Amino acid sequence: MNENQIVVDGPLVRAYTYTALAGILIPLFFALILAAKFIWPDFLGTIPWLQFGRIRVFHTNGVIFGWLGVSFFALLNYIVPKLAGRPLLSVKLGWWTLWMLILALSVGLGSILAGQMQAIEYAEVPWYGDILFAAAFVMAGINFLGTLLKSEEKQLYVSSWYFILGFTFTVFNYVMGNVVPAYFAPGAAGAAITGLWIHNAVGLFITPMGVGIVYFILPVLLDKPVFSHLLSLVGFWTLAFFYPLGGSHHYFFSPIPWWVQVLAVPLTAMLFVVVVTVVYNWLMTMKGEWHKVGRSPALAFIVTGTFAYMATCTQGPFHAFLSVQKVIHFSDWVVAHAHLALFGTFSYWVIGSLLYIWPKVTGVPLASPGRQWWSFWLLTLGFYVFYFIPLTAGGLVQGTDWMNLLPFSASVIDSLSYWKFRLIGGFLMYAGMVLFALELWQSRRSYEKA
Amino acid sequence: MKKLEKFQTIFLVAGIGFFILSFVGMGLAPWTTLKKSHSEIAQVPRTPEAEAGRKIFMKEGCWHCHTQFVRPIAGEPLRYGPVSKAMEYGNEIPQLFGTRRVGPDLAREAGKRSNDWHAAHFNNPRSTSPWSVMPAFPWFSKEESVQLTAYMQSLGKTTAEPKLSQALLDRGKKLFAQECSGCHGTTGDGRGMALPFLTPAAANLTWVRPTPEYIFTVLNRGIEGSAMPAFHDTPSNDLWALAHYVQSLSTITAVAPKTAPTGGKKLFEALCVDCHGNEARGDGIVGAALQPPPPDFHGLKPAPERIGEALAQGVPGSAMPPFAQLTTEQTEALKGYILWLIQ
Repeated sequence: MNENQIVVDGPLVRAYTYTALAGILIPLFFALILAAKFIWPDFLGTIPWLQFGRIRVFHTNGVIFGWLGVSFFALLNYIVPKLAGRPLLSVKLGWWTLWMLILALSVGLGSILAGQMQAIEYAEVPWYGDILFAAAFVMAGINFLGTLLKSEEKQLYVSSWYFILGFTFTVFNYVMGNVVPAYFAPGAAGAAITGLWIHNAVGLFITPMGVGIVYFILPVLLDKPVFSHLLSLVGFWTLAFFYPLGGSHHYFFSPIPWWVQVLAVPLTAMLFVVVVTVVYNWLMTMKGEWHKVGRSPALAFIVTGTFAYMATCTQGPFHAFLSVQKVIHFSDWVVAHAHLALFGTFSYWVIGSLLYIWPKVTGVPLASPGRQWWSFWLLTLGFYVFYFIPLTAGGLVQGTDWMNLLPFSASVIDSLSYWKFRLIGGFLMYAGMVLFALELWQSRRSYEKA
Repeated sequence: MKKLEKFQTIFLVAGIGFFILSFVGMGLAPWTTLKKSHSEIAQVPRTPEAEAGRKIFMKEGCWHCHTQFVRPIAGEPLRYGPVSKAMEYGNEIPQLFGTRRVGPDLAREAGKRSNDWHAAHFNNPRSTSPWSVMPAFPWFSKEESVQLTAYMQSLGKTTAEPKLSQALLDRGKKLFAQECSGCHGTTGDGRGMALPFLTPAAANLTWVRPTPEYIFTVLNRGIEGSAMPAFHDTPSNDLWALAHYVQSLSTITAVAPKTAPTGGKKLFEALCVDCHGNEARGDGIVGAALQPPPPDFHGLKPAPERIGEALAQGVPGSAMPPFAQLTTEQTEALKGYILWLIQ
């Protein structure tokens, strides 16, 4: 890992980062409207493109592809050249990928607001948007994997394993998820494949990108090597083997053949091994370094995200028990769980990592550590106290209302107070995210003045 | 080829290999086992109208809050109806099982609510369910609203009615003895053990010749204001078995008159239409509000004996009064007119 000026293209990383900031601030704003609609269902209720169903999908697709997807690429544009010890295969291709991504996001999310969606969860973008996304993804894959394959480094670092696996797996998974259930597989067969797509999109795209990034950032922040190479190996190969087999757990007790459902129980339970190995490896790396957390907001984001990763990936295997499914499935518990993964874990890792690389790609230190801490605490307070805990509790209330055979209305009326907490949490989280964006933006501006 | 021998390639191959394992093991394998059950039962295709409604359901994202499968747990068969089976979804591309349930499951929505209810509900859900948080769709055209309603009324009806066979009648006989004979009697004559307790009395099924569709609906919904319970948690095949068996209990031999008897129409319009409706479909302006409601005679097909009994004695426990003031000729004319009307 040599001096960054030689291999990293600063303007490219910055452009990706700005796109990612738009990719969080816009869908997160829509999330506030969604949260408000749960309390006042007729709020903005006469405008077709602000209809709940459409902006819900705008929010999920926006944060997955526009925020996590683009910010992963921003970080990879920095990390991959560092790992390979050489510049990107083609910086020009990197720019074209970004334009393609922006086009795909505009067309895809625009068509959803216009009421053109495909009825597959997390693949709602219609086919013409799918093609643009797939093209952008393949372009990014060629650039990053090409850089790694051309590397002359003697040893391939663990982050690279995750990136290579994530890209090759996801190319196929994306095509499968968007094509097979939409045009070929009917009913329960389609559900089995949709379940795989949803599960693998999180497990073999978002997880390997996020884990790979932390495997790079954590040792760099602490200035020491990772605790154990063996644990890295175990964590990687168990993820690659067990994760792709648990998809049908998204449709427990559905008409999918029963053997597929019960098989998914132990295969999902095995994911506990994956997370414990990886997190143990990182926490042992942290040993003796904990005092640094209080002095570095970047490290605080990474470490808090790591605890959330431990929590959300422990929840997962626990959810796979059929007796637990009975209560929590279909409820807000699952919504809270999904946000613990995508917000509490991966968004925190991305924010922490961006805070670390930003001065390296702009050439000036960040403007205000105080603002970074405000951002951290607003996000953390808003998410855990006002979002995660109330929604988890609300999910239990909904599940037990259904099991007790109360009128269906009871489960909606009883949820109202939890949904109010969520709206408050949303405002706090939005404020925290704006402060984070401002921090990057202002550090950039002062650089231009200089 | 030197590049391919590099360490990096292992992870590339692993990515492809683990994808294939995932797709074949957990995607294609269940698909193959399901192909058999998909072809087990004939599927009734949706009408073009309902199909257009399904498109609206998909593009507005309705499936993000309304699931479409009944699970065998949490009392769902009691709330929604029989547990969903794979064969019911053999025509569904893409599937709309759903993963979150903010509103109720819709797998068995057909027939649960009226078309008017759906029209009001789409325009603003608070008009029919003040507690609801569902978005309103005031911009739907009348056509779109009708299409979506047709889709709602098709949900859970995609499996065909089983063909009449001896095995089906045997199944119906067994179920009748098990579930119905306590009130309706072992021969269906309405003289079961519960007779002294029931007002209105259980129907004498030998004096009617109802259509199987009519019985199927009554079994699904029960009869409000009477002791007849709803059997909507019973699998639809069993309900069809019962429906056909009940029809076979009829002892009716009378044939409907070829022409409307003179004077019958006038009497019917003077005495009956307010409750029974112009065509004796049970939809008169007063009838719709009654519990128990007047039956649809076109579905129930009562025998002359049954009509005569009701005219002479009324139906205790319902709003049907006795018409003892009618002369014998008048009664016969009225009976004849009703039989002519419903043939």
